Amino acid sequence: MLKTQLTASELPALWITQLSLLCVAAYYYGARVWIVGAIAALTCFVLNFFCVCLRRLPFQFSNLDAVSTGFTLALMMPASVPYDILIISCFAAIIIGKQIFGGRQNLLFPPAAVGYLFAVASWPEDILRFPELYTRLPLTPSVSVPLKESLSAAYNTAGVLNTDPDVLWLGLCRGPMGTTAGLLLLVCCIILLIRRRISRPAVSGAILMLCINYLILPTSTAPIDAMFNGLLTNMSLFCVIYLIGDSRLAPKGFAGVLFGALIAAAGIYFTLIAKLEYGFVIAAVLASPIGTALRRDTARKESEKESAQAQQA
Amino acid sequence: MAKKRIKTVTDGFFQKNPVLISGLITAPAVVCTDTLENALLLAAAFSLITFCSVLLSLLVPRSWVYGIRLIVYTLIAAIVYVPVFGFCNYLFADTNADIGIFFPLLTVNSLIAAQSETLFDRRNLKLLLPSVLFYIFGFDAAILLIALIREFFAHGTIHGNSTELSRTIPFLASPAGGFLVVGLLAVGARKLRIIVRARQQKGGER
Amino acid sequence: MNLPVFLIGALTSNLIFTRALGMSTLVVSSKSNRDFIGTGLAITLFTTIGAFFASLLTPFTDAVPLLRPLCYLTVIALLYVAALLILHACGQAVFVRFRKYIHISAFNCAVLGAMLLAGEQLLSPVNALLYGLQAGIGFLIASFILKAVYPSLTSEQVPASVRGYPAILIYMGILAMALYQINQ
Repeated sequence: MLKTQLTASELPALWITQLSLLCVAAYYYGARVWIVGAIAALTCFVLNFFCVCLRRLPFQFSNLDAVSTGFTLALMMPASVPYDILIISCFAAIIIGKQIFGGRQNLLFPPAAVGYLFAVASWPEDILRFPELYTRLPLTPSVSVPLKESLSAAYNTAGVLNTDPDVLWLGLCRGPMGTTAGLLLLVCCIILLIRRRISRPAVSGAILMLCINYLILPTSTAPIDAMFNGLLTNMSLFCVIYLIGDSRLAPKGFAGVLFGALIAAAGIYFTLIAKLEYGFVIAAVLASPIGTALRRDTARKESEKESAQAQQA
Repeated sequence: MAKKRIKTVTDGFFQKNPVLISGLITAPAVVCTDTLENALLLAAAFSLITFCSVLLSLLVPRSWVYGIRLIVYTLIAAIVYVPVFGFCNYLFADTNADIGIFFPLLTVNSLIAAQSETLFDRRNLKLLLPSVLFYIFGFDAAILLIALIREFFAHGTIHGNSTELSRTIPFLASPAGGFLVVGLLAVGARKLRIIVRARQQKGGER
Repeated sequence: MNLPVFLIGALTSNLIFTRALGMSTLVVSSKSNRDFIGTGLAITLFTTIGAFFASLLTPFTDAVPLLRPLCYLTVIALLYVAALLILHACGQAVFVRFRKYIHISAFNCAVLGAMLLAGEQLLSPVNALLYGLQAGIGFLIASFILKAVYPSLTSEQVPASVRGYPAILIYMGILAMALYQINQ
C-alpha cells in the first residue's frame, strides 16, 4: 500500500522540529517570526479544511499535514515577509499544489515548494532579501527595514565563502528563517531519520549525492569544507529533510535512494550553474514526474508480490 | 430533434468551449492574454481569420483526398492572414497591443486545420455557419475573461486603467502564470458544466 | 555541440513550457502509449527539417514578412506530402499504421512556431537545424513527463471538474513555474 498520508504519530515529530527552527529564528528576529509561522500554519489549515469539506470527505487527523506545510513554507521565507504575500503563497501551496490534484491521496508536488516558487516568481524582492540578524522586526503586516541578499546568494556569486564555520553551524547569517541553523537542522534530520518520520532512502540518497559531488568537484577550498559549505548553504539540508524526505512523496527502497540522489544532483546543478539559492526547491518540484512514476512502479510491484503471496497461501 | 440541433450549434460557446472545456486552442490563450488589449487584438484576429478561412474552405471539393484538403485549408488561412493582419494593425494602431508570433500561428488553429472536419458538418451550411460563430464567440469570451483576471491581478489594472489593488501578483502575466489561470478557470467552467448537465438531466427525468 | 547543455536547453527553452506551443497536440497524444512516442517523433522530424528550411527562406521572408506564414505552411505542406509518400512506399501496413501521426503532427503550433522562431532569430541553416531538433526533443520530453503522470491526473481521486485537461494545464503550469525561475 503506498504511503499517502502522514500518520498521527509522525506529524507531532515534524511539528516539534519545525517549531524548534522557529525558536532559533525568533531569537534572531523577534516575535514576528511566531506570527509568520502562525499565519502560515493557520492559513494552510483553513484552506485544507475548506477543501476537504467541499469534497464532502471526513476530516481526519492526518489532514493536519497542512499545518506542517505551513510551517515548512514559513521557514523558507524571510522573517520580514509581508503577511499578504505569505497568505497568497499558502493559497498556492494548498490549493494549486495539493488539493487541485486530489489532496493527500494523490500528492504530486511538495506543497510548500509550490507555494515558495510562486512567491519567488511573483515577489523576488520581498522573498530573496533578508533583514540583518538581531533586528527586532515590527509586528506590522509589512516592514520597512533594510534588506540584503543572503549569505548563500553571495557565496553563489563569489564562489568562495569567507566566514567562520560557526556562522553556518549556528545560523549567524542572513537567510530564510529556518534554513540557516546548520547544527539544529542536522540534529532534526538525525532525529527524524531515527524515528522514521522522513524517508530514509530519499534522504540518504540526497545526502550521499551532495557529499560525493562536493568532495569530487574542484573548488578553491578543501573538499571537506566545500562539502559542509554545500550542505549548509542554499537551503540544501532543509530541502533534503522537509521536501525530498517527505515520506508522502518519496518512493520506497532503492527507488527512493535514486529519487533523492537525482533531486540532489539537479539541485546542485541549479545552485552551481544557474546560481539559484533555491535550486533545491526547483529540483524538488521538477522531480515530480520521476517520483510519481517510481511510486507507481513500486506500488505495482508490491501489489504483484502481495497477490502472488495470496495465491500461494 | 430541433432542440438537439440547437444544442449542437451552440456547443462551441460553453459545453465545448475551445479554450476552457475541450482544450482545442491553448497556446494563444495562455501566452497572449496578459492584458485586455492583447486579448482584444487576439480575439479580432482569431475571429476574422477563422471565420473567413472556414467559409472559403467550403469551396474545397469533398472528393479530394483528406491530406490535400488539410493543406488547402491552412494555405487559405495563410492567405486570409495577410488582409486581416493589415486590418488589425489599422484597428489597433494607437494601442500597445502585440501578440507576436501568435498572430501567424492562428492560421493553424484547430478550428481551421486538425479538427475542422470533425467539429463542423460541412454538408449543412445552415448549421455550419452558426456553429463556427459560436465556437468563435466561445473563444473570444474565454480569452477576454482570462485577460480581465490576469491583467487585474498581475498589473492591478483593467484595460490600462488603474484599480489601486494593494497587492499584485506579477507572475500571473507570465506564460507559466497563464497556465495556472487558464487551468483554474477551466476547473470552474467544467464544474459549471457538470451542474448544468445534472439539472438538465433532472429536468429531462421529470 | 555540448550534449548536456543541448538537453538542458531542450527543457528550459521548451516550447511547451515557455510558450504553450503544441499543448493541444500533447494532450491528445498522451492518452495512448504508442501515440505519444509516434507523435513526438513526427513533430521532431517536422520541427527539425522545417526550421532548416525556414532559415533558408529568411532572405525572402524578411523582404515580405506578411507572406511568412504562407511560405512556411507551403514548406510544411511539402514535408507533409513527402512524409506520406515515404510511408506509402514502405508498404500499406506501415502507411495505415503511421499516417495518423503525420496528420496530427504536421499542421500544429509547435511546428509552425519553431519555424517562425528560427526565422525570427536569423539562425544559420546548421543552427536552425539544431534549434528545430531541440524544439522537437523538448516536445518529446514534455510528452514523457505528461505520460508519466497521466494516470495520476486522470485518476478517480482527482475531483471530476479537475480531472483531465484542467489538471494537465495546472500540472504543466507548475513545472513551467519552476523552469521560469531558471530562465530568469
